Amino acid sequence: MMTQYKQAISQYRQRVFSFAYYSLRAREDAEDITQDVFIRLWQHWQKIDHDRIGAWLMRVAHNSVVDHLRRNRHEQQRVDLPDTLEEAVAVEDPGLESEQFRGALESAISSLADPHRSIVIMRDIQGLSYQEIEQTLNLSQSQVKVYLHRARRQLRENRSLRELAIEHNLTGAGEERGRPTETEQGHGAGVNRINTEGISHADQ
Amino acid sequence: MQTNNSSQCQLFQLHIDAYLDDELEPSRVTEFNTHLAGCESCRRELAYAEQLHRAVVSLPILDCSDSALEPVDRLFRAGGTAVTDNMAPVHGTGSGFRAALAALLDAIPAPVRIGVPVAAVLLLAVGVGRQLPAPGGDPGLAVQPAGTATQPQYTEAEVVKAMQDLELALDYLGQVSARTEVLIEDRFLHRQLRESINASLSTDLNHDPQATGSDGPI
Repeated sequence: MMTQYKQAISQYRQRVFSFAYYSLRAREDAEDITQDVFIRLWQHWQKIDHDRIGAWLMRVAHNSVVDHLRRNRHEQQRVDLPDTLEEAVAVEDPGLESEQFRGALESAISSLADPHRSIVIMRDIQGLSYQEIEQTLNLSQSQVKVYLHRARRQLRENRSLRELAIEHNLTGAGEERGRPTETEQGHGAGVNRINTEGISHADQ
Repeated sequence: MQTNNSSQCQLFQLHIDAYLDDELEPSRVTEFNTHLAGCESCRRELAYAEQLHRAVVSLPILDCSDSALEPVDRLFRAGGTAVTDNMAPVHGTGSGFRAALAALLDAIPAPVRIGVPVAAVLLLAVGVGRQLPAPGGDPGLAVQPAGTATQPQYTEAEVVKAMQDLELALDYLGQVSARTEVLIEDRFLHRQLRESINASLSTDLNHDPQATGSDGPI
């Protein structure tokens, strides 16, 4: 039991923490939630289905995040990074531009309503399978896809984000940062790779 | 966002994520590809959608600090035998029976916490007072009011036993009351007073640039 519990912590701590962090954009709160989630895992160890620990943990994390946001609704509105166009164009360092874009992107994600926010984080950032997301949020696969597409559309329609990206020509902004766990998770396998100068689909 | 009145543009932009995820039927993909070949606006929208998607999937997977999981490690080392004491200290003071009692008392609303013991003491006092003989009188010679049924008579041993029980009950209630009093005093009086004084001192220090550091918070 002890070994399994330890393994579960090392296997899922990043997933739980990342989910909480991108939902709240507050490191300390995310750490508190991570701690709470693993304590609950210990407390419910005998009762849970050990084949679905990941989904169980993410469900607990999701519930904790929702509770936290409900309790701190007003404070949450304050912690969003300023991402107005005026502030964005004032940045001259290309590295900072990327950071600024990333901050604005994180802010836009965290400001999405649930379950859009959770699904974008789980699917696009963490690379979870549709099945894992279904189990976690108790939704059907078609619902997950609909919410995911709506969430992405909302991100695209975020005016500040769009203007920031265009203003600084941040094409491939995310490519500067590696994602060591991406390959392990087989993330993005189903995503078409499109030549931004043209249209790859036209050649298929 | 670029606007385009073409219904084909609207249709494409509605399905742009399904297009990127390769979830469209082949006939629809062909239709969109044909449209894209002649529509600069949709090509730009597609490029932006892909760029944004790449940015999102490239956000790093983060990890919490080890110190955040230290309490979990403590729990793990303790074998999970004292979850409450290790992980969720009650008011940050002590553990075991005292913490458990404090938690128990905390769970009871204040009016009930104070009112019930007081009411119990009063009831006991009234009840026992009615059973006891009049001061100075002989229990065996108590005069019964006319027209009432004869009250049962108690032996001296029974009265002594009742008094002992009463003393025990009063002693127990006294302990509970004292504990409640300490908790209330600490929570509602001392703490608030301390915070109030600290706030006043902080305000004074902020307003007085000449103030020295000797008057720190309590």
